[in-house]
Amino acid sequence: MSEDAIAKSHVADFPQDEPRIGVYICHCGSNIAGVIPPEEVVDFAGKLPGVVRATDTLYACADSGQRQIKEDIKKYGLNRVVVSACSVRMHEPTFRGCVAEAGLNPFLMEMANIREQCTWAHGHDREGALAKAKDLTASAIAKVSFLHPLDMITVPVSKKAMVIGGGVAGINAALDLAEQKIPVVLVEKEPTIGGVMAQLNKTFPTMDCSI
Amino acid sequence: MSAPTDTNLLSERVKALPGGEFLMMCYSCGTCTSKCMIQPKLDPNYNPRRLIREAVFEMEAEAFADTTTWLCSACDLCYPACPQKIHISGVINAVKALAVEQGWKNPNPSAVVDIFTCVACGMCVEVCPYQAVSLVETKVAGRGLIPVATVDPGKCMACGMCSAACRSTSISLPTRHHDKEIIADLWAFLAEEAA
Amino acid sequence: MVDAARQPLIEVKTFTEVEKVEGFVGNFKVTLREKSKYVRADRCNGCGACTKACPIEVPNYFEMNLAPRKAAYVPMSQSVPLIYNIDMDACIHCYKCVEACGALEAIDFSMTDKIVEEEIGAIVVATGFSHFDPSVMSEYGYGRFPNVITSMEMERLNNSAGPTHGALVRPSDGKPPKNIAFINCVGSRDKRYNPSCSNFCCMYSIKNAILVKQMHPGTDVTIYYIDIRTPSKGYEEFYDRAREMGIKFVQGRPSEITEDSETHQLFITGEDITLGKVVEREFDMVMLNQAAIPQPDQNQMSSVLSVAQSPGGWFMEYHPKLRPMDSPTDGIFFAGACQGPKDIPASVAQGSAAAARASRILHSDEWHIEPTVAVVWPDRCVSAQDKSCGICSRACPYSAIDYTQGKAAEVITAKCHGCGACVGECPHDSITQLHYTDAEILAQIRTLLATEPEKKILALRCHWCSYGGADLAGTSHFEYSANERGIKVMCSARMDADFIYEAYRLGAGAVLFSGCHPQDCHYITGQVSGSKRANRLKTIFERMGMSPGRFRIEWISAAEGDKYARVINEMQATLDAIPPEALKEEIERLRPEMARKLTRLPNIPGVQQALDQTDEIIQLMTELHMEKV
Repeated sequence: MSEDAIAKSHVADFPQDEPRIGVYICHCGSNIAGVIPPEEVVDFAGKLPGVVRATDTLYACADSGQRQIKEDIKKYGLNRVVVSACSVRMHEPTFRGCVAEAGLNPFLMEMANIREQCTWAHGHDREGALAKAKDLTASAIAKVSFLHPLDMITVPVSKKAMVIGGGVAGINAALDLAEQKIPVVLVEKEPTIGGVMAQLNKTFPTMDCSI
Repeated sequence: MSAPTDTNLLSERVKALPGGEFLMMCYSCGTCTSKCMIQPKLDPNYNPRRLIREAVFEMEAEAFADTTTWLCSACDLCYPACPQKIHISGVINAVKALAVEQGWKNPNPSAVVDIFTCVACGMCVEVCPYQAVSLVETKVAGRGLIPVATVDPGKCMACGMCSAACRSTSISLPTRHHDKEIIADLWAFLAEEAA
Repeated sequence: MVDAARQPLIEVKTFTEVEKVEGFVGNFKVTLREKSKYVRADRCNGCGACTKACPIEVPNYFEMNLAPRKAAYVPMSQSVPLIYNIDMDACIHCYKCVEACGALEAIDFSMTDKIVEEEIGAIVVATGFSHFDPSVMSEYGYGRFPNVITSMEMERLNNSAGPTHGALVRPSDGKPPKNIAFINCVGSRDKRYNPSCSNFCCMYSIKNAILVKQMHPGTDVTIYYIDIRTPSKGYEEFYDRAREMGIKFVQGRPSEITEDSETHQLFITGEDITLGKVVEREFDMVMLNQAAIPQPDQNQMSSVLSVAQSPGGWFMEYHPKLRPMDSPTDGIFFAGACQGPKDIPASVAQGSAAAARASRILHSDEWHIEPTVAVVWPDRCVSAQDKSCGICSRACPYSAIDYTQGKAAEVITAKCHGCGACVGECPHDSITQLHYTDAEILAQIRTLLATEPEKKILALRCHWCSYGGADLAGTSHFEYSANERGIKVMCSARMDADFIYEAYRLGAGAVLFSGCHPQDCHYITGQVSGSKRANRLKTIFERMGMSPGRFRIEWISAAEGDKYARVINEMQATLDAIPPEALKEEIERLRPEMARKLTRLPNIPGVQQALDQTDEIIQLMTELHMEKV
């Protein structure tokens, strides 16, 4: 067993620090606040163990929203952040970047999806949506307490591109890359490049030749 | 949030009936109309595409008075041709059911039962493609309360299947399509052929 | 085309197929099969002597099979690179080409396919589209009526480099048509074949109509359409120009084409919907504007690249608005019609955009990837105690785990993609995944089920597909039961049996086990591990006598928002159908059985603390809930 591996395995042990969690409930304009009252979720979250700061914010992703999170991290000595807002597919990188700017490890931030997977899907059941938003926020708070600071893994980059398909899009991509001094392998399954475009006569709307 | 719907709207009532579910999917390409045999052969005013628009835009009076509502025989030539997979005859039947419910009469002739000879064998019920015939307990002079075939004029399309199937010639179409007329026509045709 | 061949930094490999793509962003290893052309690229000078000598003729795909080519051929005279091919399926081995090639000695019948490996930093996928075959639509008679042709056949007939040298003629008699119709949306906007719009065909039929009018001004041209779509710059003006030239537009989708079998004249029956009348019109020739469809090998490419497909079969982008060029896999980008039908300006724009996305990576010396990798607790690994195991290593889709009996298993971090399959499979809980540890996930499950668990539907979703499906359900405002409570892990392979036992022990009403469809898995075979485990659990729960439907397995892609909403609503209906008393009784009856499965759970590092801490949260949540009630 290498020492490196042993060190790595300790990363997964239980975190030792006392959590000081900041919770931000986003209105997203009326996208969230139009269905549930965010203040009620704030009230609820504020009572949970480890939470030292809970507040609502009109747009968490906006400059002002992010500034508030960054200021709070310093002011309240936050070591964990929960943002109840939209999908992680939308803004996880935003909020990871935000807490990192305030000196917090980006992996100590957790999002609860109370927009796509709550208010947008349960407009017909406001009470149910509110209960769900509370549960999702609580679950993010529970998870965040156990998170470990992690470092991104750095990998080298092979400085060569491959373009699969030699039609008009592929040829153009290959040319653009090559003009930036990046070597390109352009792969085409037919005996000639050109794709469908080469089979066309003139092309709209300018009626110039395709080849 | 879905908008509240007014269940009294014609379009909502059509959608609520079996076959009417896909009413709103129509993008008015006209394939159904041009596939149909009725416009060129029977009535130039016949147009299923227009009937669907009338239903979509809540034009109730126009829809109920539309010849399309009453002439469709549900042959379903249009159904497999529809690029939006709308069961057009289903939509038309839904409109027709609502018209009948509101007291509109089918302007087409419907099958007539001779209640004095009907033996309630149920053959006509079996063969009717439109579920227009059923056996109903009826008081018949001289025969008492007995089940006899009964035609729902709202559903009958006057195709004559019942008449062809009946073993006691108790159900038939009025006037021109009566058995006697058809047999006379056939004899006339054969005589012509022989000449 | 020629620019690409001239550019010294572009290596053009034609007649080449992608066999395998391994690795990750910055470090892809791509295996290519360079199919044998039987002509040596280093010697062929493109003179064409072999073609002249070749006695064999077969149809040329490039000319839509309207013209022949030889067995020794190039698809067209402007082929790039201009290197000839010998088609071995057609060749009769007469060796006349070898003779004709003479001293150049470019033709080499001993050539075989070459397998090459390339080290690649980023990949742009631009595999394009294919055309719908209208012969399946019997109503239009393509294949039966010689004068019904497709749009691509029209392209070649109209092309001065094509088989007729640009003379537009009727296939039945070789005479120029005086009266042509174009039918749009053949196989597109048609739920029987392809429900979507093919994007460029409106413009495309207008273009062909204008070309016909320009070259043969006396010809009558009619376009049948459902809607004309001209959304880009200059397109509406182009449509105007067509009307100015006298091209007639008929709104209404024809239902049938019939033919006079002697003259091969065609008759189109269709409702002219502005007239509200069915009109039959006669034409000399009809062009069907065939739908754009995914490539026939799109499914295969999708599994080679491990990228998912949208409904309809096109490659699915990371985000339809914000990251339209990115695949869900970092370092793989889409350009052009492989992601959805596109016209030339859009394809060119996407080609440049994808190149820009790729160059972000290619201009960097290093790239960062998520550290959500697996780690082994060496003291817990049974292999370290000299027991034979290796389950983790076998479960790993990337061979990223070093297993030797007698030594603790070791994860090779650079190879680990972070699916968690090893974690889900390890029977001794000796391995975990960073950012998705058992402690973290159990804490989430326990809080989600803190109050009224019997009413709740716990949904376990994978990051790439089912979580995206749930997002799409919301984005599309498909409403579903608010009793759903979701957990996200990277792959269904990470969904530990313990999570599900714990959910039922806590009294969950229902549990959904969901992930990608098998062919879409972001982690090659992760879904297979997940699926096997889920099915095993299903059998166990059936044997325990759990009501059917309380445990459900569904594969839901990121494009199936409607399915996600439907599945949750169906599960809610299943729960509603069980009388509350019966459900309560069942939960109580199964609780000890679930608990028995979990006896070893607290031994996992961190889990006991997680259980204690969440107990505190649960108690608080219960109190708050009681206050409210």
